[in-house]
Formats: sequence, C-alpha cells, structure tokens
Amino acid sequence: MRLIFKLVLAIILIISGSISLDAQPNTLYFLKGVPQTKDLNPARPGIEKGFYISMPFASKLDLSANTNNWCYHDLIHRGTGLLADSLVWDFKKLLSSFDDKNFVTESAALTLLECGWKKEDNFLGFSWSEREFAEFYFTKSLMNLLYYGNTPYLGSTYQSGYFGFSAQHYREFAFTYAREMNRKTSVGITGKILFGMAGIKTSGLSFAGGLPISGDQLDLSANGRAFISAPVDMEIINNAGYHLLTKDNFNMNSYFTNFGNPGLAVDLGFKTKINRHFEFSMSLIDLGFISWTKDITSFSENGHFLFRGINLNTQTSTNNPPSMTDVKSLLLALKDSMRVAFLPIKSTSGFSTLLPVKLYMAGEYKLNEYASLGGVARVRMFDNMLHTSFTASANTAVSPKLSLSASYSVLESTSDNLGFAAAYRFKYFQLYAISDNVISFFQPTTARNTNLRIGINLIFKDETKQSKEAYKRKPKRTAPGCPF
Amino acid sequence: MKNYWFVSLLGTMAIFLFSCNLSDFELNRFTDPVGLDPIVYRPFSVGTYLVKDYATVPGFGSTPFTNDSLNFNLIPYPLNGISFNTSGTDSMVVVVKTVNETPMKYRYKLSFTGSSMDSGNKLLSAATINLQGDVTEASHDSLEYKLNSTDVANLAIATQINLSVTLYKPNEGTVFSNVLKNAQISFKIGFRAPVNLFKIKL
Repeated sequence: MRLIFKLVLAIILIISGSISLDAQPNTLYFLKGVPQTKDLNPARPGIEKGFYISMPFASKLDLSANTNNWCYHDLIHRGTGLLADSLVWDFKKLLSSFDDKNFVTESAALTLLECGWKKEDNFLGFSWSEREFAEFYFTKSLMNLLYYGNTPYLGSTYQSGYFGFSAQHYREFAFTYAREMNRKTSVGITGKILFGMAGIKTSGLSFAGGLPISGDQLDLSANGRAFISAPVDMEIINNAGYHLLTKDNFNMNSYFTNFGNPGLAVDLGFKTKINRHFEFSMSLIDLGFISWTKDITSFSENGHFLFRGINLNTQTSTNNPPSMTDVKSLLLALKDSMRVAFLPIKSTSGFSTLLPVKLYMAGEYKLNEYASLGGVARVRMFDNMLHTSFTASANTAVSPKLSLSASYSVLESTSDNLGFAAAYRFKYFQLYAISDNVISFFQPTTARNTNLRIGINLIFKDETKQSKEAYKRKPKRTAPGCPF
Repeated sequence: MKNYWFVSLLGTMAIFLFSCNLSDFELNRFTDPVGLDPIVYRPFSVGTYLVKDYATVPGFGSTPFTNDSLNFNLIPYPLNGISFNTSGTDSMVVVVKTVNETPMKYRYKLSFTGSSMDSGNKLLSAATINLQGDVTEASHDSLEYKLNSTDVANLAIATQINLSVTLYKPNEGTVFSNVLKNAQISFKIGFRAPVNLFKIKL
C-alpha cells in the first residue's frame, strides 16, 4: 500500500511539474499489460484474458501540446550583460525559429468510462470519452508583418499565406472488437460514434496588400471562410462589425446534452508475427468526420479595397476658394467603404470537419518473454499538414506488477524527446502514466512537444496476471504484446 | 528488487527536478521594452489645388508674371469631432509627397497646435517649362518630417490643420499669368510610424 502511495505521489509530482501536457504518447504502444494499447492499435488489446473496467469518471486523461520546433524560450528568456537578471522579449529569435509554415496544437481527452473483456481469441471493448483539440497555424510571412510592419513591403505585394484556427470539442463512444485470427495474426476494429459539442474551423484565410514604391495607395484584399458551431450568435451591433453574443437560452445542461452534430469514425488495426522474435503491426486511427449542423454561423470573405486615404478635393463648401469644412465626414465615409468592402457574408450553412487521422506502423523485437525493443512511426494528418514522429523504445515487465518502457522520439522536427512509461498493478488496481517527453515537464520553457497519459484500471479475472507462478511459466502463446 | 527500482525512479526524478528551469516564467523580471513595434505605413490624404482657386494672379492671358512670390490663401482642414488614435504611437514620420505642375518654385508649411512641418528655406523645384512658358514636366518631391512625442500629442488634440503654400519665381524662363492661374499643385500625405501593438487601443 505504501508503494501505491509513493507511485501516486510520483505521478502527481510529474503532473505538477509540467506546464502544458499531451495525448496518445507513442511510448504507450508497447507498454506491457495495459489494455489501453488498443487506443493506438485495436488489434493489440493489452490484456491476455479477463475483464477490465477503468475508474468511472477518471478512467484516463490525455494531454498534449506541440509546436513545429519553436518554444516559449525563443520568445522570453534571460537577457545578457546588464540584463542577465531580467527577462527579455526576443521576437527576432522567435522569428528565426519559425519555418515557412508553423503551428501550435493542444489536445486533451478525458475518458469517463471504459471497459473491455477478453475471452479466448476475442476482445470486446467500450469507452466514452470527451475530447477536444485546438490548432493554430500560420506562416512566417504573417509574423514578419507583425514584427516589421508593412513598410518593408513598399514597392511589392505582401502575401500573408494561409493561416487559420481549428478547435473542436466532441464526445466519443467507441466500440472495439479484436480477434486473434490464428497464432500469428490479429485484427481489430473500433467503431466510433461521435457527437460534436462545439467547433470552429477556418478555411483559406489569407490577405494581401499591394503597396507601390510611391506609397500612394494600399491595394488590400482578403479571402477565407470561417465556421462556428456553438451556442452563440454573431450580430452586427451599432454598424460596428460583428459581435459575439451568447445565446439567451444557453446553459451547460443543453451544451453537454447536445447530440445535434453527429459523426462517425473508425480505427483499424492489424498485427502479425513475422518470426519467433519479430512482430509487425499497423493501424489507422481516427479516420472519420463530424457533420456540424446545429447552431451554425458561417462567414465568407472575399473583399477588396483600394485605400488611397481621404480625397481632400471632395470640397464640402462652394466658397471661393473651395474649402474643406468637414474632414470627419470624409473619414467616416472612408471607414464605411472599407467596412462594406470587407464585411464577411454571414450564413447558417453547415460544415464538416475531419478528425486528425493517424497512421501507425510499428515493429517489436522480443528479447525474451518479458522484454522487447520496439519502433513506432506515426504520421498524423490535419488541416492539410503532415505531422510525423518516430519512437524507439525498450519495454519490460519487471515483475507481475510493474511494467516499464523507456523511449527516444523524434517528434515533428525535434529530436530531444526522452519518454517513459510505467504501469503498476496492486491487486485489482492498475495505475499507469506515460509520456514521450518527460524532460519537457522539467524544462517546460524549451519544450517543443509534450504529452502525458495517466489512467486507472480495475482488472478482474485475469488469472494469469494474478498468479506469480503463471508469470514465471512460459505462456501458451509467445505473443510479445503481453507476457502476463 | 522493488526498492531498487523505486529508488532508481526517485533518483532520476530528483535529477530532473533539480535541473528544472522555471526562471523564464518569473514575469516580474521583465525590464526590457516589449520591442514589438512594427513600422506601419499608410496613405492618409490626397489633395490637388488649382492656383487660381487659392491665389489672385495679377495679369491675364500671356502677360508675364513678374512678382517674386505668390501666397496661397491658407487652406484649413477643420478636424471638428476627429480624434486621431495615437495610442501605441510615440513618434511618427509624416511623408509629404508633392507634385508641382506650376512653373514656380514653392515652399509649404503644414501646421497644427504649435507644431509644424515646413519644407524649409531651400525652395522646392518648379515644373519644367518650354520657351512658350507651357509646363512640360512636373516636379516631384518627397519630404519626411519626424514628429516626436510632443508633436504626436499635439496632433492628437489638434482641431485644425493648416496648409500654407507660397510660390516663388523660378530662376529661369518666363511665367505667364494664364499658365500659372491654371496650374495645380498636389499633396499626398502619408504616415509611417512604429506602432506598439501592446499599447494600441482599437
């Protein structure tokens, strides 16, 4: 019991030491004896036999945050010389860290209920999760404009490139079926019924500005679309653009019982033993969509305006000489013209969003019954951008109670990710915690990627796991996924 | 065995904890200005002024204009009800581009609330004229005026901007009254200013 307390304390320490955290760590893929390996490949449920249920309302928590190789420290850090004891803003360093296309993402998932049952060759599982993710993507060109202004673009046409924002909160009911087809091959499928709670998506947002060397005019254009599905209204107030208003009838109850935005997704998994030591597996996760039809507000923008400033020849008096008596009216007219030119067109047409689909390819080399080496390659596609990662791990079942994995990952374009996973079992309870980059919790300012999964399972009737003797015995099958 | 693993785990965590770097989050240590001051350029106004509308040119037809100078009547721009949003801007550069299609040299002055932008004693060029006195090529000038924080504050409270223009006889050639009367001079004014995005009020 004291050991459990120490482990819980250790997990809390890990969490409290982190600033931002992450989801679905690759290191989970080969962690032994944890049923949630099916989340990364439904053909690999991590139990050999028996029934498990995770802790209701606190089954598991996934948190993640990623950038494409830029970090907090690039922007804010200690100065040098006289400023060595101070913090300084360093936008130039941040700009130098950006690629042409950049992103920052975060995701979180809380599983409220999960259970699974393995008997002989078949596994059945169910889970209910609340998931959210958000992503902001932008070009270096956009950041250059923010830092340098438009003056450097005198004599040229500035192009912002595409930028945008996506965020979704949805509910997921997942039903998993996996089957060992023969002694070598297993397949698995997870069907997911989704319900969107709230979502926002932009598409094709960009703007351009032509500024001749004379500086006489600004030729502005903006394009793009934005979709919102949320209990809010967007209305023009006082002729001063759209304002966001919360719907009068909004309440948390109606938000969380929203089943108006249905979606479907599927996970497909496959694993096969190549020989006595080597197993290859592959999976496609979150291949699906949500159709957003409720509380929709969408905007489309296709504006153009040639800005030359106020024309002071628009005399408002016929006196001789003609004079300007009302500059304000000209300014207001100019402002109105710009507003009309760029006022987005509002509609209520629905939209759909794709889930961030992931493709996993993995190989595991079994050293003995209790230890293996693994490699996982993951490709994640979202908003027309590919995010790649590769994880190599060493995995072991130290005892019937304790499984450990240590990993090294190349995530996006970062190569300083050391991961760790631990699962500890005491009687029916199993605690586990996994991260692909544990250093990020202790060096959060330089972290480009960070993720964490923690969870609690209750595993019953997994008699082979309960028995130390069975653990010492050679299992009937030499499946490398779980030695218990 | 259990203790070995647990001690190893705690030892590793202790190493990480001691190497934990959170000093970059001590935001009260900021002493440096933010330094996010993009330089924004925007055209502001365009105005074209016919000489005969703003000055009395003596003579008529092809009578030579013999005066040394010609003062325009003051051209006022009342700013009643306008307040320039200068939040986030401590200084700015006013860019005044002129296109002179008169056969005269010129000097101008833009003034508001104790501040002014004067083209200076060195007169700006006249348009090129041919032997018949007709303008063949306009002259173009671009001058920049740096407004300091006081000037920017004066602009923010200005109720009127005045433009005064004086034309001067060119060194060469003959200026005819009818040509001068119907000639024009244009002003294109723009602003270039570093804008502190953290101070700007929309």
